[in-house]
Parts: sequence; C-alpha cells; structure tokens
Amino acid sequence: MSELILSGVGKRFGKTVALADVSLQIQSGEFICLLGSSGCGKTTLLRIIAGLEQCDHGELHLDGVALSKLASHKRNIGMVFQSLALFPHLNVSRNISYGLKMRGVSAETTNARVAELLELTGLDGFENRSVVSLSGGQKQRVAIARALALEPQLFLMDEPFSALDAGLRDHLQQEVKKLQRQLAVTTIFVTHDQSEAMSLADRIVILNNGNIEQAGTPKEVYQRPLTRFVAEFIGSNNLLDVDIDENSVMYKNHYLGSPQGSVENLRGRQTLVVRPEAMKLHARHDASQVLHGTVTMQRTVGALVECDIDVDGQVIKHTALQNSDTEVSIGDSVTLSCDWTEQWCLPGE
Amino acid sequence: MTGRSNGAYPVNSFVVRILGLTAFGILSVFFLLPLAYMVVVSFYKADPMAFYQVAFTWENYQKYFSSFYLNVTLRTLWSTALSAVVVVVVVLAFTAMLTIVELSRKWQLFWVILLLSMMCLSEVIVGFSWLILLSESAGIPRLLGALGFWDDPRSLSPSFGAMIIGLVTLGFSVVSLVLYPQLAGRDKSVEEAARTLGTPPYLVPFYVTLPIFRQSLIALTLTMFVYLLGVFVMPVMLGRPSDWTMTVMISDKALGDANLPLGAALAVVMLIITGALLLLSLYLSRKRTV
Repeated sequence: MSELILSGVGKRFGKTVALADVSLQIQSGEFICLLGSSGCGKTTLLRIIAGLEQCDHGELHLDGVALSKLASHKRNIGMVFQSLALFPHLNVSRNISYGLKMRGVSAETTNARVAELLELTGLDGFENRSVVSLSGGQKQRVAIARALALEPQLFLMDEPFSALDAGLRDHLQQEVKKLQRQLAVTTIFVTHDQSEAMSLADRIVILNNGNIEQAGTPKEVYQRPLTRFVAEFIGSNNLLDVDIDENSVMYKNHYLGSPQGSVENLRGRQTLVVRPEAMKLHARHDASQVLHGTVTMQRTVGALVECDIDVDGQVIKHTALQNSDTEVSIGDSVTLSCDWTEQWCLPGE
Repeated sequence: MTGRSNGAYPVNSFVVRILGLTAFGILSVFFLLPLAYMVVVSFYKADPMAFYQVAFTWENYQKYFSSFYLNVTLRTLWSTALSAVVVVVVVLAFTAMLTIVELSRKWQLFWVILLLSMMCLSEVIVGFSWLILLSESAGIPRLLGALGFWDDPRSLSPSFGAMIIGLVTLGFSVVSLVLYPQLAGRDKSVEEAARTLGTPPYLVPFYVTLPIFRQSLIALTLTMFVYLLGVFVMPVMLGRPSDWTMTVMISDKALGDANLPLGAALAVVMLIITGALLLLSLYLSRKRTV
C-alpha cells in the first residue's frame, strides 16, 4: 500500500518555470494520469518523483518517507520511459532481471520472478530473444515487466505508447489497465492524449504552465471543468459568456431561460460551458428557440457529424450521431436548442 | 512504371559502375601495386650499391625469425596495443568525451575545436612538444622538482613511457572526435533506467554505457592499433632504441642500411601478423546478446 504526497513541489530550468507549486495526494493503488500539452511540466514532475531531477522546493513523501533524501537508485520506483530505454546488449530475460540482480536478489527468486513476469506480460518463449529484434508492442511489454520486476511502490509511465499505431495503443492501454488492477500498484501515467487519460485513469491531473489546473475523475473533469483551460483542453466545449440576474440568463441579448439548476445562485457575467453534444440542431428556423445561426463547417467523424454554427459572430460547435433525423449542409440557417440552465458554469470566471 | 523500364536504373547502374571502377583503379595504383612490388622485392637479394638485386631468396624472411626481429615485433605489438587501449577506453577518449558531452553547447564546441586543432598538428610538432615537456631543464621534471615532489629531477625522455604518451596523444583527438557524435546522441534514458532499477550512478558507465558501446570501442581500438603500428616519428623522438617499433626498424633497414629486400620482408610479415590479429579480434568480438 503506497501513498504519495507532493507538497509545494517546484522546479525551474534557468528562467523557465517547469513546475510552479504542485501539491497532490495520490492514494494507494490509484491510477493517475498526468495530462497536459507539451512543456506543461508533466514529465518533469514524473522525473522528480523518480529521482532523476531534483526539485527546487517542496516535499515528496512516499508512505511517509521523504523521497528528496533518497537517490533514485534507492527509491523503489519502477519507470517505463518514453523511449522504453531497454538495454540493447541484454536479452529479454536479462533486461527483466536487471533490477533484481542490482538489488542482490537470489538467482532462484530472480528466475521465478522473471518467469512470472514473462507469463503476465505474454512474453513466454521470448526470454532469450534480443530486445533489438522485438516488435514495438513486445518491447513495451519488456519495459513494463522490467519496471514491475522489483514490485515497486510506485509505477511510473512516461508517454509509453506515443510511438505506437492506434490499434496497438488501444490494445496495450487495456492490458496496462488490467495489469495495474491485478497488481494494485499505485501508478502515475504521463500523457498528452486526453482520450488515453480518459480511458485509463481513476483520476486525471491536468497540468498547465507548471500548475495543476484540476484533479478529478475523468467524468468530473469532462463534465465539471473548473477552469477555462480545462474546459477548452478536455474535449470540445462551447464557452458562452452569459449575464445572469434574478430573472434571466442572457447571451448576447438572447434570453436563454430563468436562472435555475446549476446557475440558480449565480449572478453577473458568467461563462457557461456547453458540450457540443448537449445541444439539438433544428434544420428549420424555429422562432420558439433562441439561438439562430448559419452552418459554416460540417464533417463526418465515424458515427458522428460535427458542425460549426456561426451565431452572432461566435462559432458554436455541435455534435450529433450520424443517423440523427436532422441533416444540414454548409450555408443552411439552423436553430440550436438546449436546456441552457442545466449547463455548467465555470466557477470564479 | 519501374526504374528499369523508364531508363533510370541503367543510368544509375552505369554511374555506380564507373565510380566503383574508379575506386578500384585508385586502390590498385596506390595500394595493390606498391604492395605487390613490396612482396616481390622481399624475395630479392640485398645490394648496398643498388638497393636490391633481382633474385629469389628466402634469406630475408629467415632473418626475420632471428630473435632480434621477433622481439621487436612483440615489443611493437605490445606498445601499440597498449597505446590503442589506453587512448580509446581506459583513460582518455571515452571518459573524456562522456564528460564533455554533458557540458553546455558552448563548452562542447570549445573542446571540439581544440581536438580538431590537435588533430591538425603534425606528428613532429607533437613529438617536440612532449620532448620539451618531459625534458629535465624546462618541463615537468623541473616543475615537480621545484614543487618538492622530486629530489633529483631528470629528463623523462627518451623512454618507453614517453613513447606511449606520444602515441596516445596522436590517437586521442582522432578517437575523441569519432566518439563525440555517438556519445552526444546516445539515449540517456537507458542510463536513467539503470538508475531507477537500483544501479548507483558511479556504476552506470560500467554496467550500461560501456557494454552498449562495446562494439564501437573494439572497432576503434583495432583502428587505433593499426594506425599506431605505422607511426614512425614518436618512437624515434621519444623512445629509446630498445623501444623502437618495427616501423622504425623497417625504415632503418630499407633507407639507413639500403637493404630494401629485408625492409620489404619485415613489412610483409608485419602486414600478415596485423591482418591475422585483426581477424582474430573481430572473431572474438562478434556481437552477442547475453
């Protein structure tokens, strides 16, 4: 059972702030995804946890032990690197057993553990193969088995699937999730792919400019974004600046309804977060609906049809299933309807 | 439309053949013909008045198997192999470049320029520099004496050690510049992975970096070995006559004693020994995954 607590962790590279002041508590057995765009500090945070970088300030505690006082080779942390970083001069079996030998584990225990991991990762029969001759997916499995060989307190993965094709990536994501549940190892997974984070994580930590924007379950960050960055970063959202008073919710002189539901107690200028799939599109002008616009873009993505609708100069995104009754073309005048008062308002905006 | 059908392939093939024939011609004129001539001359009789007399004799090869030349051969192989290993792995190039590639870009550039400058220096200038540095009157012995580390400072050259230093200096810049791009472009996450797997940082070069570069280092050592076998000036300037390598002996016999057939026979035997050693080394260092 391994709990990781980060308190005020910060790191600078010259004048660049990689991590500002990161505090986070990760429960034992949790699968955390650090999500953010390139340069947001997610890999730096992972490297600090692994002991490959020193933080400028802050504390890290793993099961109550201060990590900053432990060199990387003394921390019991398994890590899968973006490049996988397999030892090219060692075969599969010796790659997996490397850490066990470094820790002085007996040959008998080492062999048993290697056999167990080979089976667990589906690499039976590959033990004597050179890692150089393996396929991308097999290399991934060796890297995972090697990191798990020491039964680490923490399992770190730094964008391990970024170089794989979509099919293999999906397959390995499912395998990793299954393995993590099976072993109940506390896992931190770095990715810039939000769908990967959504499908893997128990909790997603969204980083931006070295700060945590929001940490929450995939559902929370998707449905209840706390900042404008998260609302724009996760999925595709429409951000509408609305004015709320006792009687009405107004968007650019359009009356959206009376304040109720999530906006009932809010007043003044607010940012309403409307998911593209939360709206309905009507192909004909409907005077009873409040938002009217013109279709400026339409594309089919699998089972979905995505449209951009120009409403008083603001582009509003709409998504619906392809077999939807409503079919529109570029240039059509359309109407958007929605239960506006059920939508989420960004707090503090 | 294939390359062959649209005519591109035959044109390329023609160009490749012309280039190949040109290279073969150059190789023949500048390497194979002199080599063949040397082999032929090695069977001639010595004639001090005219370098050689056309004949067929094994006499020159019989002389090689006298204890004197065998000793020189062994000494040559030992000193050049030692220098090659020292320059490539043990002390200088590998460890130095491992350090240099960790420096900032500015300092890396400084060292690369310095190494290039060193490589541009002639063997004679490098030899004279070491001659001065190792001399009793102006060099390291005097400095050590002045600092009180050496009561009776004496010149450190000529000596076997001075000769090795000279050979190492010659090879250092070449090997370093060959290693630089390989070490600078290596995937450092492999070494980081070793650390997360329990390897203390000071052991990572021995457990991971050196084994990964094993093939390159062996190839460089062999290259240096062959290169240093042919070095002439350093043994003459910095070594004692008893330290002189076979290159010096060959030159001494061929030019000094005007015995071209013996010089040629010694060169042929050295060529055969070097070739055999290289083949043996390559066989022993075949890439194996463990």
